[in-house]
Amino acid sequence: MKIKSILFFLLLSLNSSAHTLLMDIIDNEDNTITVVGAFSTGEKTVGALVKLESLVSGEVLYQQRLPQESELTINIPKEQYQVVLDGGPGHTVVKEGFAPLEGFTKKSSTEDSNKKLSQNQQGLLVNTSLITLFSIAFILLALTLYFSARNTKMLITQLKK
Amino acid sequence: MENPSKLFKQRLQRIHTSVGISASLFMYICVFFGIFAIFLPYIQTWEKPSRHFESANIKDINYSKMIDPVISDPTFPTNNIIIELPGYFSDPALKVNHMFVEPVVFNPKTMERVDDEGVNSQLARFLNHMHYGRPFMSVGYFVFGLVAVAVMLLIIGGLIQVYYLKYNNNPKNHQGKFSKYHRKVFMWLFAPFVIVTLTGAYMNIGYSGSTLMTYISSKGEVSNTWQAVGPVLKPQRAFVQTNNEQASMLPISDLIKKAENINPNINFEKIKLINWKDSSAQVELTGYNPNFPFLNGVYNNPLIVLSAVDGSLIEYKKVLDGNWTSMFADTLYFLHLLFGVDIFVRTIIAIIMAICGVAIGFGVMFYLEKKAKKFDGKIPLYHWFGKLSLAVMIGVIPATGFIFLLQWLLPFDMQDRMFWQKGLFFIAWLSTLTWAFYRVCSFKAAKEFFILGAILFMITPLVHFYISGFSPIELFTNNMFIILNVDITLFIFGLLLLFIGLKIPKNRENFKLLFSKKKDK
Repeated sequence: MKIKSILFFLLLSLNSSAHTLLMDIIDNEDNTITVVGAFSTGEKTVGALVKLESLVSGEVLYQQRLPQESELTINIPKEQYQVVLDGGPGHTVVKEGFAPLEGFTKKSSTEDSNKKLSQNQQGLLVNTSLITLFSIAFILLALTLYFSARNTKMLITQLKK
Repeated sequence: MENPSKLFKQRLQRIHTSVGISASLFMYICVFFGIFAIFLPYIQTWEKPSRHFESANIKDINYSKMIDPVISDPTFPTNNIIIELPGYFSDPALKVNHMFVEPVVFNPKTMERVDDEGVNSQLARFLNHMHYGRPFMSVGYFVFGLVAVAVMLLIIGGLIQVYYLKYNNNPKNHQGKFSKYHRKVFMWLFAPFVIVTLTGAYMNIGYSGSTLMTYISSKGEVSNTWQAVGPVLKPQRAFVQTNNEQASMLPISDLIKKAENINPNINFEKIKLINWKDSSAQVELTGYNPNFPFLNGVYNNPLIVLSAVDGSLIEYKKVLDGNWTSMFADTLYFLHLLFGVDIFVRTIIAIIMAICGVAIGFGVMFYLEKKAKKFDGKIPLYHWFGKLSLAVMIGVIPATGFIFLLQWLLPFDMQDRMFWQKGLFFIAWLSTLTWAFYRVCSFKAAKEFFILGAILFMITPLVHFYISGFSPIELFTNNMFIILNVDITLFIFGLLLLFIGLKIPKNRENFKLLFSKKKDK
């Protein structure tokens, strides 16, 4: 049990130094939402840009920087939208927004709007470049093993003589 | 029963060997990249074409002409804008910065906006990250931090061994000489090395490792250490309410002069603009006071707050006004990060660390020579640890030379440039492991790595001159000494590697002779 507790705290501490951007959206149930920004350390994200992007057209419906309180109350648009907290390059949090009480009048249709939309940017880069580099690395490792086996065999033969 | 004293000495030696061999390669990586990290501010300027201009005097700059258009942009934040003054971390540019936007960079001489390379040029940053294991994320932090702890154990254990055991200081064979060099270097240089490793351990695992302590001491309220210590180490100033009245601001250069009149000893580095253009506007000037080394630089910065409307003094915090915890933290950071330290001291520390790196190498060679002795005269030693050490300790040199060369070979507008640069560096490093296993004779491979590294480091400045369009004479006449000095240093380093590469014998027998030449004479 003790070992488990120690391991738990070690795992906890692995991530405790992270400075991740967090966004909370609260539905006030009066056709408004409250967007709250914070870092995982508890610090406020004053000055971070909050955007409401239409999922129908991809256009920006609303944008405002977070004030001193690090939260904003915004009227819910009539069309389907997503809420973006833009914390600068590489730090963007995106969440789908709540619907108004009477529901959306325009709903998201196809991909043409998606091109304009912001994406979550806190993950790792996984693309063909990564696959290419990893493939080269595996080939090199395989060659290393091959040379190791070949030379060891040669030296053992030499030693036996 | 064996003599307890003999048993103790035996155990000391065995612990030193096993811990030393486990930590040696990691520690060597820390030291090797640490040397580049010492010169980080200079490499940072050298690596960016956008920083190839002459430095300006911070008092003669027309700040308004550069800053006003940026902050009048409606999408730019209106509060807490940070201006990084030219000269901050040896960067000749002026940066208008905010936590949540990309920085806007200016050449303060011409007052023109320059295209900052941003994430596409982070060579110095990457070399620094390699120094403390950041590319391997949380695991890297922990491993490198624990290695620093292991090194402290090794140094203390090593000193106890030197005290208790009788070593031959006039060894006749090369193996004895490796032991002597390893011992002597750390006997002379253990103090700076312990300081650096202790502070390194503090930075790598100090915060994250104290999660449990934070959780217990806060009675379960918080587990994130920064959340608990941040407000103490770096207390935030109270929020300044806006008056919602437009007002004209004093020129920033005048405000800098006023701040300098208050304390001429502070080297101002950053200015924070609060409620700019409002009648409540303030400027927070922070910097470094070189008269109080060890006590300021990271958390405990001297601060002068002036009204941006009339220049009146609102707040003045001297170095000694800070709380003792922030001063203590700054002392630890100063010993490792060398804040405000000039190029000469940095060079001396880099040389000391390089000697320590070589001494780690002698320790590993001493261990490997013991293994090689078993096969003396029969076959060359072909041991996995020997090959791995060769690739890690010597193979890293051409790989680093390659990343320096790539800095100027890869187009700056290339997509995922930094990703490719880093990736190719790791591939180059890994290929040295393949080559180390391919060559049966490690001395031959080491010779090739040194010569290849030498070529790469020597051609990098030439490629830099060609691609950047600045010849050494132009760099000299335009007072771009930082950039020119980096080129010269890289070339000299290359020459040194070439000398070592040519000196290294091609086989073990000649290598033994190299260390016993004087005796033979």
